[in-house]
Amino acid sequence: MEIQWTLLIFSLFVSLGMGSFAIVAITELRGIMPGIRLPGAITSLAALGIGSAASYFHLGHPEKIFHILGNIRSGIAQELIVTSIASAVIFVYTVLLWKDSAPDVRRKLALVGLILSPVVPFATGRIYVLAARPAWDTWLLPLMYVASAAVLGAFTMYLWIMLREPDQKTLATVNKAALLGQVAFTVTIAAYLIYVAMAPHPHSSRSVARLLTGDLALLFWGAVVLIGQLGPLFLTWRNMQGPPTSLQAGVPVSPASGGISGAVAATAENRLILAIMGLLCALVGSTAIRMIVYLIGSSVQSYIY
Amino acid sequence: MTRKIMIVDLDRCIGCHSCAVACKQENGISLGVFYNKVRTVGPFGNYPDLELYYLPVICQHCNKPECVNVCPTAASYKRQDGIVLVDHNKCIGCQYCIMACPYGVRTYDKAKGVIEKCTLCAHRVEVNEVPACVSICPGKARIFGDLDDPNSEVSKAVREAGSFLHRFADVGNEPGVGYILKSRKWRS
Repeated sequence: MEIQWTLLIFSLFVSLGMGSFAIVAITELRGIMPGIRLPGAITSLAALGIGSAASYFHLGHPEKIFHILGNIRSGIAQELIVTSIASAVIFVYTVLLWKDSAPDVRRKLALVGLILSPVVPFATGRIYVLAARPAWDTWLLPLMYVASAAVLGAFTMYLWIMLREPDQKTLATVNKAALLGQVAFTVTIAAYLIYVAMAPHPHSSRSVARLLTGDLALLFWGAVVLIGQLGPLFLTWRNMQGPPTSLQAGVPVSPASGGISGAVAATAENRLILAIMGLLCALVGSTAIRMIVYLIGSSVQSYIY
Repeated sequence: MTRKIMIVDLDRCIGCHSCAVACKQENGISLGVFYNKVRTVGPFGNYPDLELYYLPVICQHCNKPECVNVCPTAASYKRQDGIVLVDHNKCIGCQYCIMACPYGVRTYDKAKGVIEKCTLCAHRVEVNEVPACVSICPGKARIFGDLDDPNSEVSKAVREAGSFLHRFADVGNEPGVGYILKSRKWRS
């Protein structure tokens, strides 16, 4: 099937928004890193807004949107419901945070938001679990979207920490979260592709060979594997190399003292560049795997269109 | 109960495409949109032993239509008589049903912002007429009627076809349209 760009942008930004809010919620509940909560929450809201706007433009008749509750068993209806609830929770949390009021309510909203953080990206992936399209008919697909949300959120918040509170402890914590999320993303992608290789109704349009050596090889090896998986794994590993003492002192460390790690990740400026690169890699990887999901999503038998 | 279905006798289909033309005329379908298409399956084999057949394709009006299950607005629905329709007043054009349909027989009409598909000419069925594609077919390849009526022409055709009655791949949706093919090997 053709790439549905509006839906791709929707799921990508909703994942980024919910992944970011998960970390904001954890900082709220644990009482740490107060400086990144507001920018994180605003980023989350903005991402949900961009995603929702994209989905709006996907519809032929968005003015009839309230008909969408006509069948709440539908994956799209469930997706809309959980996204709306999450958006409302994050909006209220952000307003309270902005006013610096009602800390107890904020903690409860953070808890609800944290619970919804995997639920919303799961719902955006769950709509593709359809028997008509063998390459989509697996629960590994929504799990992959959840892992994607974890990666996008962790790298987004890593960047905010670099900009707002670049101390070693918080960076190390979020870097570990990014690494775990990235490993989960890589594992779920691998599991998904194994499923695709064994899916019923095999056809060349949805074969793994198309990814490995066919017309999608460049997209798969270049964007998904190299930039989307190896890139972030390398960057998180690099960020774990050696204490970033220069963050406080602002003095570059001699490359000779830390080898490649020292050369690349010694200064705060370089670490900021690495943080930006990490987020870009996560965005490229998450976008590319979604493109592939569409491109191998051929139906069992397509006759008229 | 009533279950309106269509059976297509592929041994009688000459591939003239008049059903596709009649469908477009009857339903006023937009340019580039089709409810009905005739596909050519083959040729297969080696000269001079070649064979092909024509395969008229429409919405299969499934017994368990996934398009109805996934429709968030309940715009896609199945009538008591088994015909699957789209209520354009409710359709928001989300195109989820297109993803859920195993056969690619639904299309998004960009001009109207809604989903279009074969209606089995429900407006004609309601006044006891047969679909336009059935009435136009010069080879009388299409048979339409009530499967639950044992004396209907369609029920008799199904019984007589026996193992030569074929259907598209079933992924749990139970396609309703049947294809009779005796003279050649079913390859669809």
